[in-house]
Amino acid sequence: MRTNQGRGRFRAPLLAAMVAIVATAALACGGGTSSSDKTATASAGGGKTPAAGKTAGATSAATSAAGAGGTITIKKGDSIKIGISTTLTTDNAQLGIPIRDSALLAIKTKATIKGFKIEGDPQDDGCAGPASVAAANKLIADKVVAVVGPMCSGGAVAALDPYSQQNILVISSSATNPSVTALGKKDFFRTAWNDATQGAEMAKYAYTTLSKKNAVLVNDQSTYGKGLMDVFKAAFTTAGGKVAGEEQVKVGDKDFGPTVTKIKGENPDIVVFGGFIAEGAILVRQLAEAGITATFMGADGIADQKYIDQAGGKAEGSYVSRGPTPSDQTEYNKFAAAYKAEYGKDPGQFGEQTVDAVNIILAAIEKVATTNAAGDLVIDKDALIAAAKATSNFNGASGIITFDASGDRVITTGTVNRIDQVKSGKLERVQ
Amino acid sequence: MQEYIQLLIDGLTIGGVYAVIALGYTLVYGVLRMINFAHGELFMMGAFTGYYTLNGFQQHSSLNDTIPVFTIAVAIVLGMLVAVALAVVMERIAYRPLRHAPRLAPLISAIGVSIFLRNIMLRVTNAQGKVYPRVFPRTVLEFGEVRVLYVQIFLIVLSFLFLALLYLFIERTKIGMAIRAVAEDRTTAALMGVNVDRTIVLTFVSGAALAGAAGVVYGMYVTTATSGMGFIPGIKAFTAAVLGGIGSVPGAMLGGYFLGISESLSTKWLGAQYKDVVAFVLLVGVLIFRPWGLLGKREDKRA
Amino acid sequence: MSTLREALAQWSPSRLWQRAEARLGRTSAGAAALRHGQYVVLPLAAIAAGLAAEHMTIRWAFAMIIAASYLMLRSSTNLFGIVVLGAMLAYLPEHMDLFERGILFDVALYAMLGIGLNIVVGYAGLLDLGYVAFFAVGAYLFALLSAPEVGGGFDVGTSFWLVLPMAMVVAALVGVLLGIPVLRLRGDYLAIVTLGFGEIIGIMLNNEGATGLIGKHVNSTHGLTNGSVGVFSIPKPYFFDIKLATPHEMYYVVLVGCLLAAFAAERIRVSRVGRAWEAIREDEDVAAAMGVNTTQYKLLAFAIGASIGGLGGAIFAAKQSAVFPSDFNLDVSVNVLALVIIGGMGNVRGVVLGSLLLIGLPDVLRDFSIDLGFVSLDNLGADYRLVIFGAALVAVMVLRPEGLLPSRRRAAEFEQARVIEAERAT
Repeated sequence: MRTNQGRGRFRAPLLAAMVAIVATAALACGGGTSSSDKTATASAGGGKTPAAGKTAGATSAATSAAGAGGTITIKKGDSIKIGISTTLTTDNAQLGIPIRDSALLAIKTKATIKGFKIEGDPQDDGCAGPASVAAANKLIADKVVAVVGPMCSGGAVAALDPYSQQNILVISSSATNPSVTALGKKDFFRTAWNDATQGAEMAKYAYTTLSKKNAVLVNDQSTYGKGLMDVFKAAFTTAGGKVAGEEQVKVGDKDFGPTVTKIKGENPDIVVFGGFIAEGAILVRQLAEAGITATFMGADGIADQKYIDQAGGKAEGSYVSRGPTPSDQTEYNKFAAAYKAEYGKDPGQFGEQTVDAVNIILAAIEKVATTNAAGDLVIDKDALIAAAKATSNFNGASGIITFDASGDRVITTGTVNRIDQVKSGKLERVQ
Repeated sequence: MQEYIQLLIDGLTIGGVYAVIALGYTLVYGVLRMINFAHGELFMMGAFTGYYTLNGFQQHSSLNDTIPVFTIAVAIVLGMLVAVALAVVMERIAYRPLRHAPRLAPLISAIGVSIFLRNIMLRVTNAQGKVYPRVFPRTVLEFGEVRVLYVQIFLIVLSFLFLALLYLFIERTKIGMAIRAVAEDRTTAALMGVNVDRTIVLTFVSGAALAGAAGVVYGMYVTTATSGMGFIPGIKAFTAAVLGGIGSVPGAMLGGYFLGISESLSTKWLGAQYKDVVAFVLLVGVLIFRPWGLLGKREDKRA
Repeated sequence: MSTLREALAQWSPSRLWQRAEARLGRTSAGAAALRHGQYVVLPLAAIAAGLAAEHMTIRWAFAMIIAASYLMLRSSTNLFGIVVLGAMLAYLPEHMDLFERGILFDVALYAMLGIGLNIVVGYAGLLDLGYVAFFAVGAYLFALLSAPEVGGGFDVGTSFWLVLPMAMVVAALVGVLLGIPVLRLRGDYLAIVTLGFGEIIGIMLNNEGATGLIGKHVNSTHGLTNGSVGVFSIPKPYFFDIKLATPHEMYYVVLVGCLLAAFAAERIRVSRVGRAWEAIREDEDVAAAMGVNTTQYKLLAFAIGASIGGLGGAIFAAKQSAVFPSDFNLDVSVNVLALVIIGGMGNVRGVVLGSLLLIGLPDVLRDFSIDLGFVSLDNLGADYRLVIFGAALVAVMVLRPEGLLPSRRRAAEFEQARVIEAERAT
């Protein structure tokens, strides 16, 4: 019955390779489409007709090729799904979970559009390319109307490819690297500030207001941290400051003793950090313990009470940039109070940008969605993106939002780069 | 000059941590010829136990600036116990059934345990790093420009103490002799009346106790505990164990310190981003000339 | 534990199949029906299960299909089966949604990487924990050659199809270069050193300093590889007029690569080279004494394995259209190694099954939720998928230490070793 160790014949491995893949394919039949409406032909070629996409079975939202960019139809009784692509695993989840919670809060607050329930669909994007693409594929398959996220710049750059193929509106509240909008995707916007804005503002504050002339820059080797420090360096040196050293730390390390010793030898009057809380808190503590009196300055990656807590009292006096922020904090305070009421703690540093992203999406849906004869909700994708793009003077928790041609925010009147200083264990606004 | 002394102390601190974790690696490897990838996670669990213990104490009484010797001792002992309990369970569930399995099966099982523990702690803590209460006064001893924290001295001294204790344990006690016998030849040891199962468990237990204790002390030094904190030190400690000669207790120590100091100096000379490159290049260099590591026994048999 | 394992083995699909075979196979007609039937009936059954799963949850279907494919994979092959399955294979992604196609692509890609690593680990017995290095080389080669300057590339405009063989050659060269200093090391020493090489590649890609030594990037401050910003806007390749834009089209590319790799690996395994590897794996000293040039053959294994990794990397970059240094970390090496071992080392069938389980499962678990009426865990999959994954790795290894589908030789070796140990123990 078993074949012998025959040579020259096609043998089991080949077959097996196929079989297993067939098996995966088979499972998809069940998960994806129902036999009743397999009109998947439009999507078979993919690529060139991105909008046509897949028709849907089990989930009753369906797309058809009516508009040039495609439309989304939500059957009566179903809910409008908003994708949330954020980091729920690894240590970066301490940033990602508050983003998810903020988005869910905004969705819960709005609750319905034209009688249709709104629902959040959170997916883990792992703060990395492959996982962000997997999350994007999942959200597209879940027939989301629009997406908040991805959380990290690298993940956003990778995931924008599948999103834009499907013509899906994406607004990130935390991907700040200049490269993301440099891709020129017409369906992408962000309520996060481009690092090119923030880094330059930080440099100006350090040089002019704090009169620091000799900086050491530290980054965490991430797209965000490295990019921010590059912008800072350019602006700081142009202004006339000197960069005495550039150090890199490894995400996940907990002891930066040698780096701190090296910084001490470089004798700066300010140490600027581009990275996130876990590393930033350790760095500021170890700098203080090593007796370095230079001012410490970080950015929105550490603008959180957790940074102060984890630094164990050594963050006192350090400066934290939050990016441009309105002078008028009424909307922010409303959001913070609602967040506290819901989750019993203060919102994370991207919270206000996240609720704004969700609210812009929901406002756009409300504007373009129409109901058809059957009572289904119909959303034209191109119109949705156009509505988001037309966002102007949107009064959100993170300030007045107007998008420019590339999808970045423009600085409006009444908005300055917010700088906080740690005073008595709390972040206190100084600019 | 003073800067280099400081770098040396920095290197000894992190090296001490690598060394103590490497001891556990080297023991388990010596006996089972198995890379216990989950060893770094025992270290992480120790750090969390330390946090919960010290935090508990802090809730009930204030930890002031004198060093609370008793509290620290309790935290360390509890950290050891938790790590030991975990190691016993781990060995029983994930490793013992694989004793006679192909060589790489326990490796994958260990990777599974490591992923499991890391992610379960991520959920337990909801991804929030836990901040240690202040137990050591974080004032520093100053010698000119050189500054040392009390906890750093404690960490370095403790690592040497562990080495000495483990060395005596392995060389001078009956259990230690059994461990050496099983490491040498499991079958013969069994024939000689050594209880192999028990000896292997004891090996795991001693390695885990060290990792747990190291976790608590390291936690006090870096003042945080996170679910991912064990992974990198685990890999580094394994590197250290190989560098020093896997299976050798003094070798693991030497490898740990060697690695710590090389990281410290390469941070100064090349930047922290290249410290791992330097570490691995050194490793290759050493292994090319001494394939059995710095202090390892020369083996004719395949490792 | 052992009784549990025996009970499971007793009722395992393969045993059941064997029993059914033994009973039905007494007549030649029955045997023929069985032989051909399994390729039709079982896939159909699997598909039916998948269709039925519309009202169940997708993951239970997944579990059933793994069982079905497992059963099929235990059986031997004939041309009829290949034709049937090949047709289905090519046709089925038509009915998947984007997410499932994404998973399918990843499964196939990792199966290909697994086939490559299997040559090193399974055939030649060299434990390589740094396989990601070759994957990265292939990915960055394509990315840098094709991405526009704004995306950090050089925009040379080299065709994707030309890059594929280039990636294989370059990766093989890197494999040889890495192999020369380390191949006299054995066993776990080799593991840690290769792990180091994998890490070093990632660090080099991330740092303009290191890559800047090679040559400053024309248009960027980020050195040759554009540092942590990554290389992006990689254009999609074309196959004649068809744009390979989505995982669906790229799946066919990786599928062909996968089949060619499997075919090549299998041919090499039964060749003179394969026998030399086997000798080295069994006992290197004896092999050397018998006149096998061990270093040369080990380098060859490294190079062939690496070239498949490089090929996978180039395909990955084309599908992903953006690469970052952080994409090429230890996790990739560990995943590939784990799927090789979980599948059953030393054979290609197992690798595919391993990939299905290791690469497919974590993503399929994204949707996993439990709703028992009285208790409902909504985000169980999203939050706990890696916890479940870790536990599954342990469970598979403990229940099937020789892997899910060990090669016949491996299984025999394992059984023999167990018998000897059992005899010794008593």
